[in-house]
This record gives sequence, structure tokens and C-alpha cells, in this order.
Amino acid sequence: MIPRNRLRPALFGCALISLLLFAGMLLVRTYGSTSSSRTYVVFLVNVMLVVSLQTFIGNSGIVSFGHVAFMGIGAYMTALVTILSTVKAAQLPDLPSVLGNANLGLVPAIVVSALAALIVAAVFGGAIIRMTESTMAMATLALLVMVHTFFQNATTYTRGAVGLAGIPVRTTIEAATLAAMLFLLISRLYKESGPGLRLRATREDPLSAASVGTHVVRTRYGVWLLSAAMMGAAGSLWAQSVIAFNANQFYFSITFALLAMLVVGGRTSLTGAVAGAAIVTFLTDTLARVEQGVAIGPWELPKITGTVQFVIAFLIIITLILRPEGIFDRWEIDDLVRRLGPLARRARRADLVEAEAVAAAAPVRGPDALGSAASVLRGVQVAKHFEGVRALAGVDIDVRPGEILGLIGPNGSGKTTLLNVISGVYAPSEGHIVFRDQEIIGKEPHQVAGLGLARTFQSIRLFAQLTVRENVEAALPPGTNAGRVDGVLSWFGLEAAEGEKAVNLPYGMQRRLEIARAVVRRPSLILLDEPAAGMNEAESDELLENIQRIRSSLDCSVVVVDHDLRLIMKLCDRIQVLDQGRTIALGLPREIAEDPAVIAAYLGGPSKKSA
Amino acid sequence: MSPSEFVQQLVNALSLGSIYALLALGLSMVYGVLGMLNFAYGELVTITGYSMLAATYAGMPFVVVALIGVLAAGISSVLMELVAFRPIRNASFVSLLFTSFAVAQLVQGAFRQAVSVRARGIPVPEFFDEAIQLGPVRISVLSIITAGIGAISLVALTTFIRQSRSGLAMRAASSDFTTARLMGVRANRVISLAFLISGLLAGIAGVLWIARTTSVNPTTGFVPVIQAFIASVIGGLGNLRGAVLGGLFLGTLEVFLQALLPGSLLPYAQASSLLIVVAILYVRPQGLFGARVETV
Repeated sequence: MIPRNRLRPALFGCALISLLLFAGMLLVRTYGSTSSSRTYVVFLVNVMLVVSLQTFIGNSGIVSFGHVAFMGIGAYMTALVTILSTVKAAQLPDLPSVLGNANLGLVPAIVVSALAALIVAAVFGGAIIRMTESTMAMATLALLVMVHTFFQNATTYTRGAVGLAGIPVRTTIEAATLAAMLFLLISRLYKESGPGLRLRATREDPLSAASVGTHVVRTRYGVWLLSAAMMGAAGSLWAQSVIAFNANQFYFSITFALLAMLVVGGRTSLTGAVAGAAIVTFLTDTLARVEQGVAIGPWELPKITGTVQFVIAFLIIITLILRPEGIFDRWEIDDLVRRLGPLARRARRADLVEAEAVAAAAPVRGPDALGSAASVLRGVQVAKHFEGVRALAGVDIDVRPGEILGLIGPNGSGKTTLLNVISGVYAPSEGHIVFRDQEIIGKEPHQVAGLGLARTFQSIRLFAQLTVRENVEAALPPGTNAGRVDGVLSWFGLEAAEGEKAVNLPYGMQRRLEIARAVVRRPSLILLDEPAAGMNEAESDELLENIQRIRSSLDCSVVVVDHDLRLIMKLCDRIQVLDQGRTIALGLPREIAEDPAVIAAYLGGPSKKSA
Repeated sequence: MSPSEFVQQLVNALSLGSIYALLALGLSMVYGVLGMLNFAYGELVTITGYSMLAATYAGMPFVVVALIGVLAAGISSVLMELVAFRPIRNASFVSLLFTSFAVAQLVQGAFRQAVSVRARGIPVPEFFDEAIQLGPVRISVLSIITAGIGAISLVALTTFIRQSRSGLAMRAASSDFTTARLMGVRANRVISLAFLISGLLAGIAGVLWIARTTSVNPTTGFVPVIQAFIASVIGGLGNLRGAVLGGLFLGTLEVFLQALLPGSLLPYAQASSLLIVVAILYVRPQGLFGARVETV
């Protein structure tokens, strides 16, 4: 599932943090007082809660104010199935007997709580997860308000603001330590898994994630369910550490505290989440003591209240100004250790040797793989109108197997619109497009990508904060051999930079990476939107070789849009010229160069370049 | 529900809806220019409330009290942007959201410390409680005043945005901020103006809200602004006309749910209206009137 080059550091990182948590537990148990051990449990429970929330926010990039609702559901579920029957009967006389008689242990209670949260998440998530990012943040807020209203008023089950009491304390310091380690492990494994990587790709750029075959909504729904179940389980452990609670505890103050932990530590890093939990927990604890009134020598400080809220709010604002991505930014503890030690360099070399062997053994598709010699892509009378503007006024396009088709035309002639319609970004107003014998009108970008179409974008759209290797891996179709990634990286001269974040690459490499990301899918058709933009002659010659090599070694067809006529004339088998949303010429490069209509519309008179 | 009851409830719906509409408009305006959801927006309503409280203690007549309330929100809004949001203006959507969340907590905490957790009463003119008999229909004066002031503010603001030069700059900035700057629109001025107008809207809505509740506490602004957030989402975030319609829609929904739900379900009126909204968004994720769409 998870490639070794990501699994090993992930496990190493989890082990390091677990070791710290474990050492902390031993210290507190051996030397600490009862109250410090209680604080440590609070910290560990906070770790579980914030790790659950981080799994959603950190990987998807979407803010949720609603996850505390799942914590509440987990906590109530646990209270209902663990409080002694007689105690329950006194507090909740109208409770149905199934719940009234239930008396579960620690683990079954956690499982039931996680399931309850999962079910509620499944119901509401269906609506929430389809929205755009900022709308979703608001919808999760609505979810919190709704669930909170329910907690307050469904007194048969919750006793509202009065609350429930008598939950057996089973979240011991040992149990909490173990559980926190498990939460970390689950979250980290998810982050490094295929779905986790693809989700992080949608965080960076949803459209280009879809164009490499990721079903954005389904990927987000998956993490929504996972994080809700984790939150439910964490709520269960929380309930079993506090004895009593009421409806008002699952509202804004805890949401605020959890978000503060994420902001301070770094919301895209699990290590940061743990650090944030530590800082906020111990700050809260210290301030709570101060609020009780502290004697410093002969002076006694007056009792004050509400300082926690203040201090945390200041902490958030200061962090966001000084270090907007939090203390740990996007780094995990193993990234930091790796930068210091030679440990992973050795590991990486071993991986490379292995990968080269895999790449060499990978079958290269033969020319007959495409079956018939019919068109790979055929569009008939494709039209697209934008509020009265006819961007495409009925264009036919026909791409043959193994062909490189150039698409040229003046600005606004409809080239990019045509690519967007073919790749499913826009639904056409009229016309049909058949790709590999399937009608693709009405299909979403990720579905079209799934059929074997890959593309690049006019303005580069990489997954900016992911590494070069992760960019390519995120595009790899699920279930394919990860060795293919290495082959593609070395093909495009990117292997030396594989650990670098895409955003830090020089321009030419970013262009190459975008093509590499398309190529790793082994598509039957690649659409390149102005790949030579901003390149000098030498770079564009190198690009030409690369495109020819893509065609010959993948046996795929290529559609290239570009303004670099020298490149187009040298590279393409046929050229189609668009003007004002219509095809004005189609033919061999030589024919196009001499076509009077093209010269009039596009070249604006006889041109030296076209000779 | 009899026809006369229906008319009464309709006026109530317009009155509550226009408060939501004002707030949703203020939120949408800032979202349009900065792409930012201002979570501390509710605190402007709270600030209005406490300014009114202070002015009342100073013995001023209600009209002056109300004006002070509106101005206080406008000024606080501009200050909030200067102090908290400007230093991180180019930060991500999420960072801005978190900052505003923290500002909200700071302001709430400040009132908790400086005044009290408990609600303080604010006296309003007695005729607010009276009702006018129009044939078979009894309509409360406050509802008429609220709906009226809401309508006047909305018309005035629309005229300002459509007719004035500053309004044009704001519309330009809201459709494409980078380009608008290149065309000579001064970023700081437009942003300050957006926060000023958005703050004044919160102030007007705040006065109307306080007139209904006749008291203020540190979390006064919370309920109406949650509703306004939801209203702007129904309307399509960043869509100003949508925000107004969304506010009116949500107000109507809430008033009629209050009137129609049986007594045992009354505590769930707000939750039910949210549920209906989520259902609507399920069918139309872009909101009823369409959000701004990112182009490829």
C-alpha cells in the first residue's frame, strides 16, 4: 500500500513521538503528583482530539468547526453505555432499556462511540462535503450548532445543561498513552497512504488533482468519515477521564482550544499537532493555577478568571503573524531528524537501486495495446458558449493513435477552451466527444482521466507544497507499481530534486514536472497546454525530444497547444488551426504554412518563421 | 394560520430577515474584497450593545444612543482590520479565518472581564412594544421600524455601491483584486472602506437586534451572526444580492418555523432551519444564487 520510502520515515517518526509520550508517562508516574498525572492524561486526551481534527484539516486544507460535535456524540454514547444501570436510572428515567441496561467495558465503549460518530458523519457529510472550501467551513459550523441544540434539548438522553455523572474512570495514564500512540499511528499511516497523498494533492490544487484521476469529493468524504470516527473514539476516552460532563462542554471553547493547538503547532504536521497540544494544555493548566490566586513571597496575587481565553487568543494571533504555518510548519519530526543525520540518505540509495530494477522489469506497452487503428479521440461539432460569448462555435477534432496533433490559433481562438471541454473541466454547450470508444460528455475531469487522458495546464498547476516525488506519486493510478515513479523521475531529470517541494523548483523544472505527472499515468492521450511558454530555444528543443519520446515509448497520442511555431512545425504530424472558435485549416505542417487563410488569420501576412 | 396571522408573521419575518440581511451583506462585502470570512463580525454587534449601554448610563436620549452604537461598530471594524488583519493580509484563507476567530475570543474575553458575564438591560423607547391595528391585522411597531430601517439601509448602500466612485472601486476590487490594484485602485483605502461599511451595517443590525432583546452580554453577537454566516452561504458567498436574499429567506424560515412547530419542538426551531439550509445546499452546493466561481 504505502511505498517503503514513505512508510519507513513515517514509522520512525511515530516511534520517536511515541517514545517521548511513553517517557513522559514514566516520569510522571514515578516522580509526579496526582495532579500532574491528571494533567498528563488531559494532555494525552487532547493529543487524541487534536490528531483526529488534524487528520481532517491538515490533509484536506478545509477548516472544520464541526468536529467537536463528533467528540460530543462519542462522549454521550460512552456515558450511556458505561454508567452503572442504577445510577443511569436515577439520572435518565426515560431511557430506552437497551441503553439503560448496557454496561460496556473500555474498548467496546470506544468502538460503539466511534461508530455512532461515524453514522452521524456519514449522514451530514453527504451534504457538507460537496461544497466549496469556504462554504464547507460554514456548514460545519451549522452542524456544530445543530448537534449542540440537540445535546441541550434531548434531555431524555443527555440531561442537557445539567449533564451526566458517574462515568467509570477507565482512561488511566497507561491507557491514554497507548491510545494516543495509536491515534498518531493511524493518522500518519493515512497521511502517507495513497488516499492520504491524493487528498493532500486536492488540498494544493483540486482541479489538477481531478485531472490526474482523483475523485475529489470521494477522497474528502473518506477523510471526513475517518476523522469523525477518530473524534468519536477520542470523545469516548475523554468522557472516561472526566467522570461528569454537560452539553455546554461541546461547543466553542473546546473548538477554540483545539484549533489553537493546530495553529500554534502547525496544522499540516502531526508533530506540530502534538506540540500544540502540549503547549496549550500546559499553558491552560498553569493559568488555571494562577487564577486560583498565587502567593509570590509575601504578595498574594488576586484571583482572576478568564485569562485562558485571552492568552490563547494572543498566542494564536502572534503565531499567525510570526510563523503563519505554525511552529513545525509542514515538517514532521522524521523530516527534521533526516536533515540532521545520514540515516535516510542510505535508505534512499537502497530504494533507488530497488526501484530501477522494478522499472526495468515493468512491461512497456506494445503498439497493439490500443486495439483498432480508429481515432483515440473524436469530437463532433463541439461548441461552448460563456454567457453569450461563443468560445467554440462547433469544432471537429480527430486524434489518431500515436499521432502528435498541433493546435494553434490566435489568442481567444478557443484552443484552451477545447482542451478544457475534452478533459471534462467544462461541459460543452453542444456536440459529442468520444474518447477510446466512450462518450465523455457529462463526465467529470477525474472520470475522463480514469479513461486514460492526462493533461497539463497553461499556467502551471502543481501540488505546490508536496515534494517532486509526491507530485508524481499522487498521479499514479491506484494499484500500480510505485517503481514507475522512479522511471519517470529519471526520464525527466528530476531524481536529484525528488525531495524538493514543487514550489521551490526553477520554472523549467516545474514545466517538466507537470509533464512527468501526466506521463506517469501511462495515458493514451496527453494534452499539453503551452508547454513551451517562457522557454528559450535550447529548452524548447529538449521539450521536443521529450514529447517525441513520450509518443514512442508510451505509444500515446499527443495534442499540443503552443504559440512557438518553430516547435509546432518540427514536432507535429498534423496541425489544426482555430480562429474565433472555428477550424480554419487542418493538415500537414507544410500545408498549414502555405495556407492563405491561416496566413491571413493567424500569421498576419507571410512569415519568416513558417518557412 | 389565519390570513391576518399570516400577514403579522410576514412582517415579523421581514423584520428578522432584514437584520440577517444587513449582517450577511456586511460579511459578504469583506469576503468579496479580501476573500476572508470575518469570524469576529458578531463581536461588532456586541460592541454596539455595550456602547449603547454606556451611552444610556450617560443619560443620552435613545436616538443618540443608537447613533453611538452604529458609529462604535464602524470604527471598531476599521480598527480590527488595521490591528489584526492587515499584518497578515496575504496569509491564506485559513490563517485569516483563525485570526478573526482569535479576535472574537479576545473581544468576548474583554467584555467578560471589564463588565460581567451576566446580561445588562438596555432600556428602549416604550412605543417599540406597542402594536398598530390595521383592519384585522395587528403589527408590532418594532417590526415595522426594523423592516423599514433595514430597507432604507439596503437601498442607500446599493445606491452608494452602484453610483459612487468608491463603490465602483469596491466592485472592481471584489471581482478581481489584483487587477483592480494594477488599475490604480488603492488597496488599503478600499479595504478600510469595506470594513467601515461592513462595520456600520453590523452597527445598524446591532441596534435593531438590541431593540428586540433589550439587553447585552458578552456573546450577544453570536446568534445573529451565525445566522448571517448561513444566510451568506445560502446566497452564495461573495454575492451581495444573494446575501440580502439569503438573509430574508433565513429570517422567514425561522419566523414561520417558530409559528408552526409544536411546543415540544420549539427549542429546535433554529436547528431545523439550519437543517433545511443544509438540505438546500445538498441540492445546490453553490448556494441559491450562485457563488463567485474560480476560473481555470
